[in-house]
Amino acid sequence: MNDRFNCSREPHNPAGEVTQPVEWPLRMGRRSLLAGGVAIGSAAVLKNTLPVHAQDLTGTIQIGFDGADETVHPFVEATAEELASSNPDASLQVEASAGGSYATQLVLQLSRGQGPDVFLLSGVAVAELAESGLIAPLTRYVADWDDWEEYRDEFGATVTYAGDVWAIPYSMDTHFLYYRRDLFAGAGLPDPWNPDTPADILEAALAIKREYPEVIPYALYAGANGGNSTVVRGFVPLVHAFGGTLVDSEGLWIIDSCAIRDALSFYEQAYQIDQVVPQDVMTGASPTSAMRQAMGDGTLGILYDGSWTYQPWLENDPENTEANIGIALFPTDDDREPFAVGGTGNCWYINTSSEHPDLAWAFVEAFNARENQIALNLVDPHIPARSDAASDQSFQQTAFLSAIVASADVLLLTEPDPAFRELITIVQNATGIVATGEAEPVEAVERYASELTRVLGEDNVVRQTCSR
Amino acid sequence: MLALTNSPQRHDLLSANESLYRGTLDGFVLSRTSRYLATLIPAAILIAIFFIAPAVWAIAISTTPLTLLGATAGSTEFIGLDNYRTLLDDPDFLKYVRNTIVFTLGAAVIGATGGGLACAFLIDHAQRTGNRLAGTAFAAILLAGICPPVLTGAIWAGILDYRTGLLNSAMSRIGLAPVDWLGRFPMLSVIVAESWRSVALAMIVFTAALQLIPRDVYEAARIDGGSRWSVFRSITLPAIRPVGALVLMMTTILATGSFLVNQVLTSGGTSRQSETIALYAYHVAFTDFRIAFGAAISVVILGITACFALIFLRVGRVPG
Amino acid sequence: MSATQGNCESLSARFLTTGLLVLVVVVFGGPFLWMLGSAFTSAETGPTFWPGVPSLNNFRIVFDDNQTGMALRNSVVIAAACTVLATLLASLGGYGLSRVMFPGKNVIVFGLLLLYAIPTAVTMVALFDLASRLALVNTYRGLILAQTAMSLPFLTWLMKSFYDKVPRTLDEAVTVDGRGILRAWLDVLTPVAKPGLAITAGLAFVLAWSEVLLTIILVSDPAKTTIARLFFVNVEQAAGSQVVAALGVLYLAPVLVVFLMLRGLISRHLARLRGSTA
Repeated sequence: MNDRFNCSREPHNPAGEVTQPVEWPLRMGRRSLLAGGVAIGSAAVLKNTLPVHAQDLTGTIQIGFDGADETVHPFVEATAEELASSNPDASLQVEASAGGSYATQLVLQLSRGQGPDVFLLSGVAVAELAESGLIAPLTRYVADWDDWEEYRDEFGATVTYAGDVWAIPYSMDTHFLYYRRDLFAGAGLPDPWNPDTPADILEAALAIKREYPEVIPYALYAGANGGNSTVVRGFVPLVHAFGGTLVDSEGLWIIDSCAIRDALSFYEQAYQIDQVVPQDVMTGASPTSAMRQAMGDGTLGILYDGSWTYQPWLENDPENTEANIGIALFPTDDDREPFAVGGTGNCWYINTSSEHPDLAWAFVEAFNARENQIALNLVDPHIPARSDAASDQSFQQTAFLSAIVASADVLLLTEPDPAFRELITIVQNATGIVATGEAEPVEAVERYASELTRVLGEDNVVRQTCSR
Repeated sequence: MLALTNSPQRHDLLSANESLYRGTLDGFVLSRTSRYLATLIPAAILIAIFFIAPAVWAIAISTTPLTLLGATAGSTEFIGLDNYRTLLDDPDFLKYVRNTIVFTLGAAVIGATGGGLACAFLIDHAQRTGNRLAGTAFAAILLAGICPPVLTGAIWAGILDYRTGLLNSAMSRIGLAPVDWLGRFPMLSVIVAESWRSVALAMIVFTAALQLIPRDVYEAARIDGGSRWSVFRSITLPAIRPVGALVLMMTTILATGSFLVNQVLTSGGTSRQSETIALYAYHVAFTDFRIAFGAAISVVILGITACFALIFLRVGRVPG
Repeated sequence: MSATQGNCESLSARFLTTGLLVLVVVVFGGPFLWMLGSAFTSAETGPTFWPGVPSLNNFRIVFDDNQTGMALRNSVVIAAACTVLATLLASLGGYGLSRVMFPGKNVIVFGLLLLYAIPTAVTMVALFDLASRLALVNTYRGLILAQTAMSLPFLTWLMKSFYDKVPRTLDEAVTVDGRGILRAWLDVLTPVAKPGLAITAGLAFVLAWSEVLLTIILVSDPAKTTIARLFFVNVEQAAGSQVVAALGVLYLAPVLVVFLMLRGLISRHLARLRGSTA
């Protein structure tokens, strides 16, 4: 429901969209896969590696997170136990929320001055939470925290708003173009595949379409059903690929540019002209999970999605996944290097109404210890937010993991902006009408421009004329 | 509504229905009947706290910028009709209104009421002619009628799915090309699913009304040489017309406020081809946390529902 | 059904009637069979009507999550309590509403029903606020009271229409004082009890059992979640999958029981109507 908090459209897993096995996105599927092995193992690792914290912390705090996120659960428990044992006067209560509406419940509680003292939520919400006054600035804590040095500047910038740091991420999102090598081989396409330009993606999709009429050649998210994926995995990479940005250097939102036009034309090409993205990609009840499933099943050729989606494929069918699912970075239209769309993953926030923010912060610090970030990002493949965790040898174990950490250097990140939420609807509208053939790209650009202007005001937007 | 059928005489059926519009009977005044008010107190307290108060709050809050997140989080400053202006400025607003009207006409008027009437005729006829399938058909419709909305949406999503759906696999078996139902006909899909579960209410009420028509009245009319049409006009129509108005009103109120089937089935459609105002209010309030704006939208829904309901009540009013 | 009547219909008309009835049964009943079939089909084969090899695999997956059992139990408790409370209050209030007379009564009733147009999604802030002030968040109590209140306007109105059928003279004599009214209610209740109360109770149960948003707003404790919510959460992501179908079967099962009870009642009621006019 609150898919705007998600990088994906999994309603009950607002931030750590990672935990979903492809077929059965309930927490239950995960348990059988993880509970016995990895998760408990990593919690055991924690016992020995957590730094010992000050002995003088007191008070009782509640730690909130989405109960559907089973991956993070043992880590939260272990950190809380560790901290409680080294601070006898402190009590830390771990409160897993009921699946399905974590963000709704949390925001309702916060707005009444209630809710957990410290909680996990996606980094997408940083600007809005900061503006609403529901979370406490963490700048003074960060100033005394040596480990903050380990966060790349650009990572820190994604949780900094109006001069303050508001949240501490333990992972950063990264994305890949996944492609089915079996389909590529059959269609006479190269493997490894490294598209040079966005047009190459469509060309490959066309080749698959010719050879395998029954598969979905390419899943490009458009419209409302795609949730946040329409923006993060559809529109944003395309605008960047065509040499544009969403916001200019002065912080004005760009309502029209060659890149925006090219991106929307790409949608028209994909959906209406080449028809390599069948309409039904967007009309199923849950497009993102359906497409992830299709990629695992081999009935989808190309998909742009998060690094964490690889894990369920691997767990369900390791051989097939390693043999048949290839990854590539997103190409650009010119000679700029290929890139990966990034994002702030799960972050810890501290409630303004917390009576024991120091204890809450001690928990955040402990949770973000290097070893903890390594263990967590191995079970739930993301870029560890700390550089000293990302550089750990364990991320060189497999080609996939090393590709994840390597993508940190080519990550496209957006700084927090409260307008991002409005942008989601506006992008859904513009891409949706092009995808369904209801409007030409030019009309969609006008639509995009007028809606952004209406929402943000004339003074906050700029039109970059496109002479083409 | 079912109670209308409880009467042994047709006369009561009409008078009870009339009293709904007429309000009080002159012979009874409040003072004589006020002692009955005590029985209403327990229900009234609960309704006042959890039903009326939140609704009144929503109407009041629609004049503020209240959101749960962002700069206006928690703000209840009076901004007059700004939210309503924003709504009118929204280029999609007219689309949502149009969708709502299409959806209400399709699901409540044609689907539920029309479908319910047709099913009632069929089942009444089948019962009168002793067809054993009548009971089974009645049961099937009733079962659909109590299916929870979310489950209805899920079942129809499974049926209409382009690749794995029941309908397309049945069509391919007889050599027809699959159709992307949810993509090409999102509004129709939602109307079908919504009607499917709301036919029952109308069917029960209409069946009850039809069954009250004595058998010999039909026979007498036939013997008199009345054509089918004249029998229908002089006997059947008067029997169903008053309950028809009630059914229309109830199905309309239920349909304009309904969004869960739609949310599960299409989420409003790729380019919002099936986004109704109620679904829009849900998205705005529940997904975006723009509470006051959502409240303004729901006031508009309230207005549209009231218009529909008043029209139907007027149409159904029995002359004289 | 008299044999003479059955013979009135020509063979072709009878054929047509039967054909149409079959169509109705397929359209309204078919989807349920399909869900049932899917629920018992293993995930590899894809959804079908009739699983070649019925499999309980999907149900095993569903029950592997201890939330499912808990949610079912919570739903039963909440829906049962709502049924009792709502039927009692709607019956009592419906009686009073039927008997009390004042100008504009029906306008008020009508206006109240119109308020259903304001979705819970919009009033959630007020509801949550109320519930936290009254210490009802994360409690059965809160869900029961709020859910009952939500269904009461409709159920009371429904009960009222049952009482409208009972002649006033029956109870007027009894109602001299406050206690008299209660006795009159009980006396009057008896004649209308069977269809009216049962139908109201059945609807109260179905409404409470189906409710999704209220649980989402008032409950964050996983131990208090309901089957409706569990189903909603999963269907948003994987509608059409067989495991969701299995969960759907669990979601529908208790409603089915209510349905079987109601069905007999309603058909008998309708049959009686016909009997009285024959």
